[in-house]
Amino acid sequence: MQVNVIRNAGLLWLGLMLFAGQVQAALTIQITEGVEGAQPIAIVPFANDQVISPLPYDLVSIVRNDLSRSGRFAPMPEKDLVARPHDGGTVRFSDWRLVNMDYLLVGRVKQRDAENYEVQFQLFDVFKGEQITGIRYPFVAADTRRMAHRISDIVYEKLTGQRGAFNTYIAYVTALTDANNKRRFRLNISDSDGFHEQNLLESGQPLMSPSWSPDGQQLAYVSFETKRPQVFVQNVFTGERKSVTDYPGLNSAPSWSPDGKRLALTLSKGGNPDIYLFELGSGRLSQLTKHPSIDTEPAWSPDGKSLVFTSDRGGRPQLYTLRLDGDKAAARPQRVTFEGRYNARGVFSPDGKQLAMVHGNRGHYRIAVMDVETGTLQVLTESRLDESPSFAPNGSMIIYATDRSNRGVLAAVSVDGRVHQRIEVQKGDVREPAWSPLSNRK
Amino acid sequence: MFKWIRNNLVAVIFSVSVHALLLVMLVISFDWTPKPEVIAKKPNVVKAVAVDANKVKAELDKLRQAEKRKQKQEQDRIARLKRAEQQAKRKRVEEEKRIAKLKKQQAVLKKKRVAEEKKRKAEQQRLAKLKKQQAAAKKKRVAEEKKRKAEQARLAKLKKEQAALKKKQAEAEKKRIAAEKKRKAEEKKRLAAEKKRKQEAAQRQQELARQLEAEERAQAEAKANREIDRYLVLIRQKVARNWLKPAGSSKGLVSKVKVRLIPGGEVIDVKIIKSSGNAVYDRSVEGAVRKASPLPLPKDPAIAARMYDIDFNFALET
Repeated sequence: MQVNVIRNAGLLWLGLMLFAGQVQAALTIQITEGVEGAQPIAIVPFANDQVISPLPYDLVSIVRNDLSRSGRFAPMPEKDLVARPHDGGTVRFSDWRLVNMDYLLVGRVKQRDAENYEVQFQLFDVFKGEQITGIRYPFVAADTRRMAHRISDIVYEKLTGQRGAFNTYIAYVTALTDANNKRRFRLNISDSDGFHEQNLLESGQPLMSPSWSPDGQQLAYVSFETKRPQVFVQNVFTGERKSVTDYPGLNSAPSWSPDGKRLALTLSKGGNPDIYLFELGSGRLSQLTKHPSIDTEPAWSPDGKSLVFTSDRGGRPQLYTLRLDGDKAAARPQRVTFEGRYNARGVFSPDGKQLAMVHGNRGHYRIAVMDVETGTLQVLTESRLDESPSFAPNGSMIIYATDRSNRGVLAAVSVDGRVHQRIEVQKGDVREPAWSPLSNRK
Repeated sequence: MFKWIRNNLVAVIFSVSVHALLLVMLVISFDWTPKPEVIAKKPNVVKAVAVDANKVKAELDKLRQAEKRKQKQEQDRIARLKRAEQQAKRKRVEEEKRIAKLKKQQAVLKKKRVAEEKKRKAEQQRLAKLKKQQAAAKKKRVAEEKKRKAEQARLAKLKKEQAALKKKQAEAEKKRIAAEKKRKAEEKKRLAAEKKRKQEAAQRQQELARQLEAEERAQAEAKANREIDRYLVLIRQKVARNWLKPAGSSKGLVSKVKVRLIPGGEVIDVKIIKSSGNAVYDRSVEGAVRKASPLPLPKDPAIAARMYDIDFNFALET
């Protein structure tokens, strides 16, 4: 008995020791959930004590807006800044920890001469008390906005791990009523924040469906300038343009293939709208769908192996995918949307995992994204009439047109649906935005 | 003279008697060995008898008359005898001469014999003496021997006794030592037993205390563990609240960080010990812990101290 007790005590003790050792050695906490939200960042106005001629725009404001619009950042309002350091030497991290700022961006602008400036900035991890990056760039006054977007891109990429898409363009179409009460249509591009609008084409006839070439140099679009729809391709920077299709009937909804060599588009030369493939080099055309219903709005998957398009072959408009590789049997379109009475204008996300679309339900047409693999649909907007979703080239946001007081305006939503922002700098009725690729903007 | 004699007749008689006695005694004394042929006539020996004085006077008167007659007779006889004696004297002288010669011879012989006898006697005596001496010596020797033997025996006995005693003593000593030894052993045993008993008691006490302590510790441990568990949840919640999940798909990413706290829960070190391979994800994880600082810790510093090192696995489930 005694022995047993002692032995048991011994075992207990041993157990305790083991347990204690275990506790001591490996207190492990599993974190399986976090919060969704924007990362707090304090952006201190850059010092400009060495600037004689003020820049046309405030760099820091542009950066702040960019980051804020992305939904991934919650920049501290300028009035709330607890300190205004301009370089690492004067940063006191404790100040920023107290106000729960994860990151801190400080910098300085210097003027080299009349036109040439230089910006240097440092990004800090406040809680770690470390610099994440520090960069210096020369720029000219005219490129102030671009410079700001580049800074935004760097911050974004450093802090999210994804490329920033601020230094990109949006192409869109506006409709205005001019002084003579005539409708004027314009093909415009602007910076991704809606500013710095540039007109590429103006027409008395409707312009529709701009689509960027993968190199970001050209736009394909539909112009009714000859009273009937034709597909044109125009170089964004040189203005050079040419008609690429002028088939009888409808020529619409061009979509540039990822390899840049083909356009998928809708033609009705066969009697009713079907999807066709047009090879830009050879001008060869091939029909992809042949169905008595309407097939339109083709869009490429990023790998170029399939298309998504809208068809009412099921009675109501739904999205279908069509594989372009493989045999004939596989080439039969597959319906991919089943939720809701109306799903149209499908577009693949840059990673190909999601489809954004206009999702109509009980008279509301909203932007939704669907997980391609699971078919899960998430409606991102709460407006009444949205159209033309287009992914930012980094996949973080979707820009779309929405109706506001019977006028089309641009709006953006983060792909998780948390951040909505209207881009209301443009005049007129704005439609059909298309976000440029990342690549070629210097 | 006579008159004096007569007046002192008794004294004279007595004196004469005494002289005669003395003479007789002398003769006898001279003649007892070896008996030569005595030729001389034996005088009449008066028998002296002590008598009463009156009677003696009467007697003496009678005797004095007898004496006077006897004296006349005696004078007559002496005269005859004188003549005879003259004759005998001559003869005796001759005889005496011969006898003297013989006597001389005999004397020589006798002397020789005596000497021899003496010698023999001396020898005998010596021998006797020697013998006696020898006997004495022997006796003495025997006695001594006996004595020696007795002594020896005594000594032996003594020795034996001593040995026995010694043996007895030794045995007694041995016995005593054994007893002592036994006693000591027993004492030792007893002491050992006592010691063991005490030790066991102490051990039991200790064991009991240890057991008690272990139980208390176990209870404290259980309590501490409950406390730790409780605070692990609080810490998890606080860190999760501060973890701004990186946007986009973080599925499958796992970051493991080692976090060091100090009293008060302040995070003093966050180290990525297993990177997700995604710098932004890793940074978000580090930031979550740092932003959550100070982490809630139990009030008990001892328990809190056990939570100074915590590993966090950040792995999104969705």
